[in-house]
Amino acid sequence: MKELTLTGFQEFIINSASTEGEYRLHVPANESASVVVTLEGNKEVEIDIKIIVEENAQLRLLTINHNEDKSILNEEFELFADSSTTIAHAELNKAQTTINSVHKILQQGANLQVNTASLTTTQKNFYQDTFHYAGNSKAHVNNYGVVLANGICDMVVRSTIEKGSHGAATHQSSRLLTYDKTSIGKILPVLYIYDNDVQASHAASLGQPDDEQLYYLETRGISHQEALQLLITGYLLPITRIIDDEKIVEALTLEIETKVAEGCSM
Amino acid sequence: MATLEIKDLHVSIDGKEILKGVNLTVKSGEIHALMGPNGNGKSTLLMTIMGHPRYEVTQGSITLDGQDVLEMSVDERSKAGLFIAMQYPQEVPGVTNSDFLKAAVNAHREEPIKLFDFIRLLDKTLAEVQMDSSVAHRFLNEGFSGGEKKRNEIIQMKLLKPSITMLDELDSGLDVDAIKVVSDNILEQFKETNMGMIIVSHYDRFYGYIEPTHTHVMIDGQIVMEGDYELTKKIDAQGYEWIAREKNVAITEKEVKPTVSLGSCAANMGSNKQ
Repeated sequence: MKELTLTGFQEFIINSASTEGEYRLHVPANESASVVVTLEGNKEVEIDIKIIVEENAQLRLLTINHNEDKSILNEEFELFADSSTTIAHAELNKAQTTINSVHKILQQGANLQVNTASLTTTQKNFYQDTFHYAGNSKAHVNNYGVVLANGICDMVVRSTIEKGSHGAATHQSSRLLTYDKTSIGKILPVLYIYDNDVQASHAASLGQPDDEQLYYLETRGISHQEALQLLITGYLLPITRIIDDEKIVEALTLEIETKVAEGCSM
Repeated sequence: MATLEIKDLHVSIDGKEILKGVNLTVKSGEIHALMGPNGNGKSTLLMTIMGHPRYEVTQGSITLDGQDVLEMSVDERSKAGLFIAMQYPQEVPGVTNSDFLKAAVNAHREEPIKLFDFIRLLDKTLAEVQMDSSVAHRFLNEGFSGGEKKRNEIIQMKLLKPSITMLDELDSGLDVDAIKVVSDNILEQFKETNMGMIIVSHYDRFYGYIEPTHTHVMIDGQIVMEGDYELTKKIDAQGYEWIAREKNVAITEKEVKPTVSLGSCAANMGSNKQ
C-alpha cells in the first residue's frame, strides 16, 4: 500500500502496468490540496484508494482516465468537520470503467461536491454512495454523461442521511445524453432519509440531443454534425473548471473536443 | 441582388394544413411586413423557409435566386443567405455564446476567422447593440432576459450578413429604448447590405422605425390582402376583422392547449390537511 500526504498542487501519474493498486491519501487538518491523477497504460487494472480529508482541510481532486484497458476504481472518502472536498472524474477513454465510490461525511459542516463527465463508447459504470453521518453537512453529486453509438452507461447514485444528521443537505443530478438508438443509458437515483429537518433532492434525465437546440444552431450555418459536437462538448466541459491550472484546463478541454469529434464521426 | 420566391406553398404540421397556398416574392432592398392575427401561419411560413423539420411542405416551391431552397438542409439555407431571428431563441446550456458565434461565423467562411479578429469583431458588434461584453462568455441564451435574447439574435444577423433576413416578432420582449437600438441596427445593416426582409410584428412602433415597403396580411394560411406601409398603419388602427369580412375569410383561432394537472404530491397533501 502506498501512503501519501496531500498539500498544495500535486500531479500524479498511475500506470496500469506497474501500479501497486492500493493507495491511502490524506489531507492534513487546515491544509489545502489540488491534485490531478492521470491513469495511463494498457493493462486491465483494479485500484483501491482511500482518501481522508481532515478537519478544516480542502481537497480538489481531478482524475483523468487514459488507460486503454478495463479499469476498476474503488474509492472511499472520509470527510471530517468543516472540510471541503471536490472530486471530479473525467472518463473520456474508450475502455470500460467501473467506479465504485463511497463518500462518508463523518463530522459536522463537511462539504462534498462530486462531478463526473463521461464519454462512453464501450461501457462505463458509476456506483456512488454518499452517507451523511453528521448534521449541517452538504453533498452535491453531479453526473454528466454522453453515451455514443453502441455504448452502455450505468449510474446508480445513492444518498443516505443517517439519523442524527439534522440540517444535512444532499442533492444529486445525473444526466445522460444518448447519441442514437444503439446507445444505452441507465440512471437509478436513490435517497434514503432517516432524519428530519434535512434537504434532499434528486434529478435524472436521459435522452437524445434536443431537436430544437440542434435546429437553432443549424439555422446559423452550423452543420448537423458540428451542432451535435457543440452540444455534447458543452455537456462535458464544466468538469474542466474543477482545477485552477491553465495548462490542465487547456489540455482537458482539447481532449474533450477531440474525443467528442472522434466519437461523433464514428 | 437576391430574390426569394415562394409559390403556392402548402405546409402541414402533424397532418393539419396550416399554409394553404402562399405566394410571396421578396427582393433585395425590399422590406415586407407580414401581418395577421396570432395562429394564422406567419411563424409557420418563416420556419418553413428556414427548414424546420416539424413543418411538412406538401405542395409548392421556395427558391432563392432560382435555387431550390426545399432541397437544402437547414445549414445550407443559412449559408445560401437566409437568416431568421427567432421569436423564442433556444437556450443552449454548456455552449458559450462566443463559441457558438465563432462556429456560426466560420461556417460562412472558407478559412476560419483568426481569434483576435473574431474578438475584435464581436466586441464591436456587442457595443453597437449596447450589450455588455460579458454576454459573450455566458451560455447561449441561458438566463438571458427577453431583451438580451432578441439583441443576441441581432448580433447574429450582423455577424452573418444574410441576403434575406426574417424577423419573427423580434420586438416582443423589448422595451421602448431597446426597440430603437435594435431598429437602428437593422436599418444600418439594411443600408449596408441592401438585404431583403420579412418582418412579423404586431406593433406599429416597430414598423414606424423600419417603414416596410410592402405589407401582406395572412389569415387562415393565405395572404389575403397586400399593400404598402399605409396598410400597416390602417391595421394598427382598425384590426383585422374588416379584412376578414371584406375578403370573406375566417380568422383561425389560436389553439389553446388545456392545462393538465399532475395532481398534488404527497408532501403537499399532508401539509394541506386541516
